[in-house]
Amino acid sequence: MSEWNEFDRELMETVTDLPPTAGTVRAVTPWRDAMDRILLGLCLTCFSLNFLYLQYLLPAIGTVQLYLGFRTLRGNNRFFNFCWFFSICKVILLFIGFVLEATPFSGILTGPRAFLQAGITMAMLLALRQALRLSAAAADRAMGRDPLLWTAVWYAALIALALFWPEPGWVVFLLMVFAFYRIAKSLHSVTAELEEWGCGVRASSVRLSGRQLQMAYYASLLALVLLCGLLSNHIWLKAEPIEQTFTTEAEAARQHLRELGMPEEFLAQLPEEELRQLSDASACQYLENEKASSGNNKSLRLSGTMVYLVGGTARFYVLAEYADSVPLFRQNLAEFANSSTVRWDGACYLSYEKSGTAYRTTVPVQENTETVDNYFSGPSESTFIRARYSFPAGAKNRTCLFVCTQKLWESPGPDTDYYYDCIVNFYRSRLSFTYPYRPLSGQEPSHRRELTQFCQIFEFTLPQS
Amino acid sequence: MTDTELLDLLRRDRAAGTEALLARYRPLLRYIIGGILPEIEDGEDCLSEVCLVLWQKLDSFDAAKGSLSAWLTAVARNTALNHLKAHRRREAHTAEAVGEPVSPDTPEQILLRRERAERLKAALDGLRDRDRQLFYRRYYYLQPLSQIAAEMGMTERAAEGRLYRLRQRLRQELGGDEP
Repeated sequence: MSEWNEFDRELMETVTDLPPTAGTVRAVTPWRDAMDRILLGLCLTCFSLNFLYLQYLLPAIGTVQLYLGFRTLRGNNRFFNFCWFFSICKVILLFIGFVLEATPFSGILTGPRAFLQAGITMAMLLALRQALRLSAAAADRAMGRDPLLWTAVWYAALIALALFWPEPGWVVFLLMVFAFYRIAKSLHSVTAELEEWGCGVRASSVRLSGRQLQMAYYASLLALVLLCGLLSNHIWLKAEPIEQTFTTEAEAARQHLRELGMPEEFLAQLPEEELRQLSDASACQYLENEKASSGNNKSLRLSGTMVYLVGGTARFYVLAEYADSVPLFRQNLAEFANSSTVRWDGACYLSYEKSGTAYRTTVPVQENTETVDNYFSGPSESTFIRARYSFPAGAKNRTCLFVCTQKLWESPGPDTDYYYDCIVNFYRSRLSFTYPYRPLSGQEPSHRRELTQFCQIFEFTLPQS
Repeated sequence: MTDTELLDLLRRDRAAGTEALLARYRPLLRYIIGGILPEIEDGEDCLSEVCLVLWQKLDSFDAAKGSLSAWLTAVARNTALNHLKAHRRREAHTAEAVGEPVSPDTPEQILLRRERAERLKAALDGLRDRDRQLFYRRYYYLQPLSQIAAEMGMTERAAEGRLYRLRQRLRQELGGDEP
């Protein structure tokens, strides 16, 4: 105290007349702050709530709290040291997992990562149990209750449910929540009971303050997630300037389609490889989607053309013209929606203008056969054709031409009039309510993406032979 | 055993009650003494002194004025502080060590001291919990900076900085000499 000046001495003397309250007495121990952090961390990391970003926020906060709590107590016995090590593993795994989720690699090693997380949590719970028992023994006490064993059992049940019964319903969910509440309450009581001998534990010194560490961790995690999300949400495609010259064969096909009634705006979008496929077309029908069934149809003008080919097949073209004011840096998804019709040969072409030059690029499409459970007709197999794309920043006159071939009939029936529905969904990720990167799919809940739908019925009269 | 049960036992059987009280609160007493007297031998001597004081003063405890743990804390702190002063006096071979706080005994001094305590209480009430904890650790429990930093999860430098800002704030509110 020799380095104290008069003011310090005055404070020390004066505070003698102001003994601490019971709350301050309880707070001033090496035990309470650390155990409070550990309890909070356990509560936040054992549950996953999938709304309002809580599935990311709660584990991120909880894991760091666990680390900070165990960091203080790590020097007391080897089991606290194990807990500290496990909490470091959890912090690192969480960081890697969250950053990976913000990239297209979010799907890799999800199973092993989840098992590793679960294994570490379980090991940490058991180590914490031993650490508390050892600390109690060091103070010649014994723990009457064993809430950490129950926490471990509860956690094992949670993992078993996730593995074997992923959708157990509200009753089981509420039971699990209630059980956890009881366990957490018991754990809190035990740590409160142990507060008196908790004064005997020793806090380990640190090189980085808890606050600084939290700030650095959260800031770097947020920055990396946003950066990865920003880069990953944009799909980089190699575009080439559009050449307006066609081969004689393609030019003849263009003229033929013009005569069949294909509008010029469609013809202008068709690349040479498409034109060659349409040289033997026998009819063409053009339809504009005057009223989109849902979605932001003001920013997207949709139209479609069916070109009848020989052999009972037709090629469907759906053209999406995006308004210049709509930012499309984020990923988009076009999808030929569920139908019992056989489809193949999907293609997707993007075109846009940038710096006065028109560009076109071919987008890779995915064709998947999936089983769809229909409410009326039951489960059936259907071909889904999907394409994901982004336009470059600053592009104008952006269009997406989405194409596929459909089987109309195996052999013509007695009727000459045929009707074919054509539904194409155009999705766009809704950045403000989704994790920065999320691969779009048609099955996603509507709050995750905006939808504009082309929905029309083509009426086709078979030419009399 | 709750505090109420412990106090009941003390009233009925002083020896058994004191034993139970010490069994429960010895780690707390040791912890408070340890902050003021880091040497283990000094600490153990002081703990014996505290036990004696508790035996003598238990009747003066009034549950209406505060919790048992707060009272024990005050007893342990004051005994340890007296122990430290005595130790320093012995070291300095003087009747009164230089810079030691002088006990006010005149009525004016008592009045001044009471006034200062009221102002400090008002200032402490305005602090955040963590700052109040820091203040008590430093000026009431007289813990070394390294212990404060470790227990509050800070580096020594951060604890020093926070304490400095706290002092500045209190100096503004209470008045005092310049650093």
